[in-house]
Amino acid sequence: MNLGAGSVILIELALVLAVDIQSAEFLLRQFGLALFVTIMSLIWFVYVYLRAGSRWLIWIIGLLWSFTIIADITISGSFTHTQIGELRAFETFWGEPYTLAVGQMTSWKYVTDVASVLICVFLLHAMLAAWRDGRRQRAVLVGGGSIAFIVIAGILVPLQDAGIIKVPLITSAAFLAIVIALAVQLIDEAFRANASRLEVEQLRRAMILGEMVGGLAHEINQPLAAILSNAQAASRFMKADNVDLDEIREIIDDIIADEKRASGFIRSLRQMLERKEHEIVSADVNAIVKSAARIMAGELHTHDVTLYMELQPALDSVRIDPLQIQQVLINLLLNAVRATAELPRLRREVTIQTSRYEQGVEVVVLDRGPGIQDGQKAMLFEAFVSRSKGGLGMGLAICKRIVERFGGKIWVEDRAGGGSMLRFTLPLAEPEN
Amino acid sequence: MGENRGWVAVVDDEASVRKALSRVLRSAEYAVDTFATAEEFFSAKSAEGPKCAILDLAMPGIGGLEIQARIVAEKLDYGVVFLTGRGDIRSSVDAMKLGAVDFLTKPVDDALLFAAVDEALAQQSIELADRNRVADVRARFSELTNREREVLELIVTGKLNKQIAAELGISEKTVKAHRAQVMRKTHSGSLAMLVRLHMALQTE
Repeated sequence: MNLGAGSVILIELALVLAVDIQSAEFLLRQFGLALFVTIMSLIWFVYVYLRAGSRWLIWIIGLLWSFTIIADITISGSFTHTQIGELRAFETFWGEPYTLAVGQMTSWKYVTDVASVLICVFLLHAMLAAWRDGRRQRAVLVGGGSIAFIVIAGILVPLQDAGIIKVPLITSAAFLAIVIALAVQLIDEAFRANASRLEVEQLRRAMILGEMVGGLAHEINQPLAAILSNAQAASRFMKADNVDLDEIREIIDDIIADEKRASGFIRSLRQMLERKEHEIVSADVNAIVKSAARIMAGELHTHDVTLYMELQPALDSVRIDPLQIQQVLINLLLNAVRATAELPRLRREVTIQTSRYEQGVEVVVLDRGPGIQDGQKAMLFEAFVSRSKGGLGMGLAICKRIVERFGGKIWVEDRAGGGSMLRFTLPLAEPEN
Repeated sequence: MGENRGWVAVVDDEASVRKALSRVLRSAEYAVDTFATAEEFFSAKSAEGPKCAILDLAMPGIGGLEIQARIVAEKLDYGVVFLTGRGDIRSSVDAMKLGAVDFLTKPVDDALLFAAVDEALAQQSIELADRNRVADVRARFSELTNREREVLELIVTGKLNKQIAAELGISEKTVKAHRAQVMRKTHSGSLAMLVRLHMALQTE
């Protein structure tokens, strides 16, 4: 949709530029085709963007227009390009009213008029449908803008062609205004879409944490349990007749160490949940792997899964958002743990590898789970396709989006001896010139 | 450590927790052994007499529930207390069915912990005493001759001397003599007590 909208704007801008730069004669020759492309893209854009309007109307409009375009070229094939321009623009029709092929030309003109009316019908219909759905701003801006475009094109062009308005820039200025209106709307939507993507990612992080709440509780409970027992032991030892101060000191040191461990863990959770804008920095993937493993420790423990880390030392750093890549890693590890949890204990192991390849850094998460069927390998990264029964299936789609944002790729392969390998790459940043 | 409140084995894979539990138990005069894994626990030589095992539920390798199952199967002298970072109902039900004394969640208050440990120790003492008594009764019954055992089996079904004599084809007087021997050897003061001891052996 974004691509389509972008192409509309590009085509429109190209047209506007053509209007600005090229001579009137050249414009007239190109105008029919350019207008056709523009209007068809506009219609298609409205159809996709408003998700309204009828498909068969688009077909009829398209057929009528292509018919006139083809007719222009083939039937006027014996004429020169200038003459085609004359025919389309009707300038020569006014300047030399009594030249040949008048009847033929007017009949073609009716076909384009029918098409124009149909375009207006299509736009009105789509606009009303969107309006009724409650998407009023979109309907008015896009639908209204498009109709204004057609009307301006329909009125201004003949007027200008007729020599009443002599400056072609008026047309282009009107186009430009509409293009800008549409662009503003699109940018606004894109901005909101980006904001909601941020929200989805943040929500997903919260959901990941929710899924492993037992493991998280374990990670906090362990140091707390040690702290409480140590403190109660110290308090009781202090009541003895001859207090062993060395033991008390040792206990206090242990209490401090356990507190540090718990608060460090809570800090990493808070970082993961904090809503903040993406922050792209030069980062060490190995360090991110370790932080993800840290958060996953309790989850691995409660499912009795052993994590092996095979990290290539001194990896080149890549330009990424560490928080997002950590999210990808936690997601992949969580999937691996889920795939592994039902296995006999000896096979309950997950391995994570990092390595350097020509263009960057590659990360592989390996498990010994049931693996992914060939038919599902490509679908796995689509939203709402869930690998685990309980999962929401958004995990891998978001992983894909994040990895691709940093220029990487993510895919799944079978692991020799059973299980699956989730691999993703993060290319090194191009050296800046 | 001569005077202590009892022997406690702590099995937890996490060193800091193991150390802290050991300290708090020692501060209350328990004798403590700590183990990082089930293997360590089972291969260690334990003290004689009633003991308490504090087991971490989820551990890499063999978990607490499996240790408990083996303690029960091998009739080891451990009362079991579970300690877990996440108490889920399913495992606590399983643990209780196998006779765990308590199912505590971390962090655990010392008073609760000691109460559970004491209960486990008390339960083990009773079980041990029961087991000793049964062994004692078995020893007494093993002193009976074959004929006396035949007479015993008929006595406990409530048959009279005359009926027993007829069934075994011996004189009523001989039955009386055997009966007196049975009562003496099994230290039974009454027919009711003899029947009870006999039953205790059957159910064992």
